[in-house]
Amino acid sequence: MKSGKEQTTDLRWTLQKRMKEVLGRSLHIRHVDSGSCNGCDFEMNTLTNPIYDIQRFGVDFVASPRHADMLMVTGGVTRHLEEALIKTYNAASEPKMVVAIGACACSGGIFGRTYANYGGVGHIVPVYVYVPGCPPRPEAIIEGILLALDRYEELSRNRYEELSRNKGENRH
Amino acid sequence: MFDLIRKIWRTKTVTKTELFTEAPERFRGKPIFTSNECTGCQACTTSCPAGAITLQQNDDTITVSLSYTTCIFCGICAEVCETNIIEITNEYRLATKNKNELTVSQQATLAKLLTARKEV
Repeated sequence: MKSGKEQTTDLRWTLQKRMKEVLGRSLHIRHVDSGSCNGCDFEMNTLTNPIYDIQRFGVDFVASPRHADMLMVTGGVTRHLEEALIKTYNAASEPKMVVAIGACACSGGIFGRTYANYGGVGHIVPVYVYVPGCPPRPEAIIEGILLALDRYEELSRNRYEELSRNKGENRH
Repeated sequence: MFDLIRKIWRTKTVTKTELFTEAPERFRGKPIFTSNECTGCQACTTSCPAGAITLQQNDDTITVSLSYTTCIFCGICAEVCETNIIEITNEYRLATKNKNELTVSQQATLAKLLTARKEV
């Protein structure tokens, strides 16, 4: 399996191709703001503008976690938004791919771990991919999406093998 | 009117055909270790706004470790360092599945201070 870093050479429709391979159809993303400064959110908004235009690959930002395959979390989870994050995570449909965008979401960043800040999304929900940067470039976010698809493919294959093994055991 | 059409004609489409283009040369991206000499002056650790750099001093070696997860890519550490152990590159693709990959460290030998520090 090629990692995201090796896929750089061809690339015009790599993202769309990978999504078709892994998920079957398109990818919908729900953006969760858990107390960020809006820097990372702006960089995520640029993904849909005419320069990056990620919607041509079938990626879209949706308004509800129930419609989404992927959660993009920005900000280092403040005490007030912890509940919101957990509720969003529970409401999201499988696969619950969580991508942590920015230094704050990865490890607290400049705020660190304090009484009001949990210091990273990883303390609250399981994270697939970390995208560091303050803020990360839109291209780095696209790479994060590609890596999350790789991770999902790995996990689903392991799960499938496990299930088929269990089936075999039950038969005998 | 014609100027506007001409401008649109010249600009053409702005949509990127390649996903990963190289960042501008002066873009502050991934800091890397370029030498293995450290004076142990702790200028980088004190000047880092996010506290991403830690120094651990043994007898004659110093381990400088840097965490990309907390780093905000301001480039102050590269500016203040005398031995240029840390340098800022324009590499921006740091996304990873494994968080441990984002902490790097470098063994450095102790070097003497080049400029005498003023005692205040």
